[in-house]
Amino acid sequence: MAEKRPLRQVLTANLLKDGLVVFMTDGAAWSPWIEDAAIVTGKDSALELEGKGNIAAKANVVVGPYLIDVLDVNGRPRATLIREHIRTLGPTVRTDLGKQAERAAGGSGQGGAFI
Amino acid sequence: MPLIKNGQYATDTWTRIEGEVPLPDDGDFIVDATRLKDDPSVLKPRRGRLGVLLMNTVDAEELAPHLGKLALVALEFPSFNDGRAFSQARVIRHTLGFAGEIRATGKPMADQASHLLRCGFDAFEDSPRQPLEVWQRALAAVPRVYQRDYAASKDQVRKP
Amino acid sequence: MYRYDEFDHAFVKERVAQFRDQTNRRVAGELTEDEFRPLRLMNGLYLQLHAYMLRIAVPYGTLSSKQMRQLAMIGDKWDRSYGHFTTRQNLQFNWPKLEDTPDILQALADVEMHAIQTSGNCIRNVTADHWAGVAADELEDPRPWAELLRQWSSLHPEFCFLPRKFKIAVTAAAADRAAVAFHDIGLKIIKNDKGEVGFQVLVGGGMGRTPMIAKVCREWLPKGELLGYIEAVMRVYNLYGRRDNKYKARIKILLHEEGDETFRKMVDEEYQKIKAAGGSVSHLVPEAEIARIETYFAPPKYDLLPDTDPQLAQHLKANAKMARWYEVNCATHKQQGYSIVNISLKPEGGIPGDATSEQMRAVADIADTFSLSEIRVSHAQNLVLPYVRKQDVVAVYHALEKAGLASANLGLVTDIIACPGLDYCALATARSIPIAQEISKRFEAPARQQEIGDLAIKISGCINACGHHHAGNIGILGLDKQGKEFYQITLGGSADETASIGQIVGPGFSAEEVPAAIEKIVDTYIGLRNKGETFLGTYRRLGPAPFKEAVYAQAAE
Repeated sequence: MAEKRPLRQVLTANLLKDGLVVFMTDGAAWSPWIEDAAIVTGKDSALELEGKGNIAAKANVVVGPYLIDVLDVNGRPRATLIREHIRTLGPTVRTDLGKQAERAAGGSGQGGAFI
Repeated sequence: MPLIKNGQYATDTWTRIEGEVPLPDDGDFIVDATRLKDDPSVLKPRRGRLGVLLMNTVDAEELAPHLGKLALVALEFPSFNDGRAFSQARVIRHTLGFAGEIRATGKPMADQASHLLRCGFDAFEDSPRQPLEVWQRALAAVPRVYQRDYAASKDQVRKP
Repeated sequence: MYRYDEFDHAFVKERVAQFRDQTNRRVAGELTEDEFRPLRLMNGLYLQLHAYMLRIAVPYGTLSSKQMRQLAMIGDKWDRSYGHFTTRQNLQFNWPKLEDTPDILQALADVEMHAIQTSGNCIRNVTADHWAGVAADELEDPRPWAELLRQWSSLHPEFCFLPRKFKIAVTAAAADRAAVAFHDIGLKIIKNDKGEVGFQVLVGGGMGRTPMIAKVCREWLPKGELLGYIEAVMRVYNLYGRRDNKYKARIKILLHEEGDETFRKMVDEEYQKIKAAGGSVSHLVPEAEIARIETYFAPPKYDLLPDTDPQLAQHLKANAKMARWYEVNCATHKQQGYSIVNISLKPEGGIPGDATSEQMRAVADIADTFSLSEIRVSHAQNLVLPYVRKQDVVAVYHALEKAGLASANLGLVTDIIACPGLDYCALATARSIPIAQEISKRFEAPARQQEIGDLAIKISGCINACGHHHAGNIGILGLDKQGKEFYQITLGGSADETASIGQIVGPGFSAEEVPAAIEKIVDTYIGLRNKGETFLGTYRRLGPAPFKEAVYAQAAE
């Protein structure tokens, strides 16, 4: 990767009630799909996004919001860290479980294979 | 601040005095436990009562020679998950046989009510987030315990 | 096995009600997450990578068929129809919802189970030899004492907010199948010089960032003094254990920093005070209580059977596959004519320790018919049927085969211990399960497994070492190197009575390189071993040099 790209981040958390992984959208709502996540570049907008996440945590909607780095891969955000990428998929040893399975069944509404 | 003692709101007659400020003859005062060693004049007979605040890094046994002159020992929870004061209370109440007030200060959680009582605490500080009802409810959630000699009452424990 | 009385039933019911109230307060916002976290941890509920995780206690690894069936039902109703058996004999569900957890705890309470203190800075599940009560080599059944400790430690008012977690294990055989040397407190039931039975108390073992082998704190303790003495150990730890650094907070660090002698003295002094404060007897375990608990662990009414069963012998002659399974998985029972049947949850290429609800029900049914309705969980993530008559072994084998539970690999190269790792765990730095799967597949051929013999491979997905890699004959630790998963291999660890900590063999490997490295290590062993010598034996005899050379030689080629 020779090119230096500006840092792109999304905000993720777990829903309080069921623990499932979610991402904050442009409308400050929560989606299970990283493709729906609001992407920020630059420190100020990242802080702003974090602030919105903390409000949602205080409102007992989510637990433990935090920013993760993403790359643009074929027009979709992909977490750069393997840990965060696994969080968008499910257990790699049980592809019949988690978001990867829901995607395969057309759950994300986005269609197409997701890397 | 309002005090919770013996399951009810109680008037707190005690005042905290820091450092080496001389004690008036009247009044109940809580001094640093270190003062018992550093300033023995604090132990001289007064009309008012004497209490100490013991840091949770200090061996509770250090109070042993002075307990006869104390009416209160305050122990600290710097955070609710720092459980050293449970052991200090146990030593003071059970090993050393102290019959006065053992007060939990700092940040214990009401959900620890049963643990606190059973280790020998009998007074907690009230706060907006943890009013009396919350303490009472927390206590009522543990009517039954296994630890024979840590019971608030004999009815609580498993009978042999 | 132990049966709840009215008191026990009421206690767990109260815990469910308490947690339901706490959960409701959390959802309503009356408790913050910081306030709620220790409360949910006290009921075994973690927040992991993909979802919450519930860790259910299986006290000293003993389960009834009824309880196993209930776990299967819970998996179906509130989870994804499978569970994971852990290295502390517990069961984990990976997908419960917070809002369902009070109902799950109620379903557990209905069958005398709970998730109390399976997490948090408190005394955790007390584990024991998974062959307790039936092992041919044991002095007596250690489980009554594990049960006593379970009750004593449940909501103990003084010891629920320790510097860190606290793990106790009990064994009563010279062969240590409970890994007591790697526990915060390890208890060995032994005879003293006078022939009296009591406890040898070990303190300060552990895995994690700084693995240590426990030291003898008390050579021999009369049985009745157990609780008073442990109280002394716990008080010293609670007061003096470090709280400034999460990675230096276990009792092993306190022991290390104070020194064995000083620590022992601190405990003895505290113990003297406990004895003095309570009068001459109140610190002693009430004899009536231990007698009451012991009645539940009395041996069953065994059938009087001959040592060999001619029908079994015939079947073994006729069916080589079953004979192999019998040889590897079935152990010598204390009672003549019986067998300890071990169920491997490590199908070649499968996920170590996982079982589907369907498999759990199959095991429960088999246990009902053939094992007096009792099942055990081992810290190697396998199951045990402890009361199988030799004349029933054939039927058991076929039933296990049908359920996909007849892998003949107990203690062999494919009987790998692996933590959930980065596929599930929020603490992990690398995946462990796929590594286990690849190694397992590489060595799956029965002849190869037989050739290699006993070999304990243990894999952890991070430094917390839940996979017990330090105690693996071959240990694998998953780390992160510049954003990529990276694996360190250790050799020569052991969790038994000859406890040892594995030594790093050299620079680490990528995931793709690990199976080949393991193969080189195994081939080296086979090339250098004496007749009948295990991997561990060869390693201890020769040291790391030949293995290092074999693994890293290709760099020179």
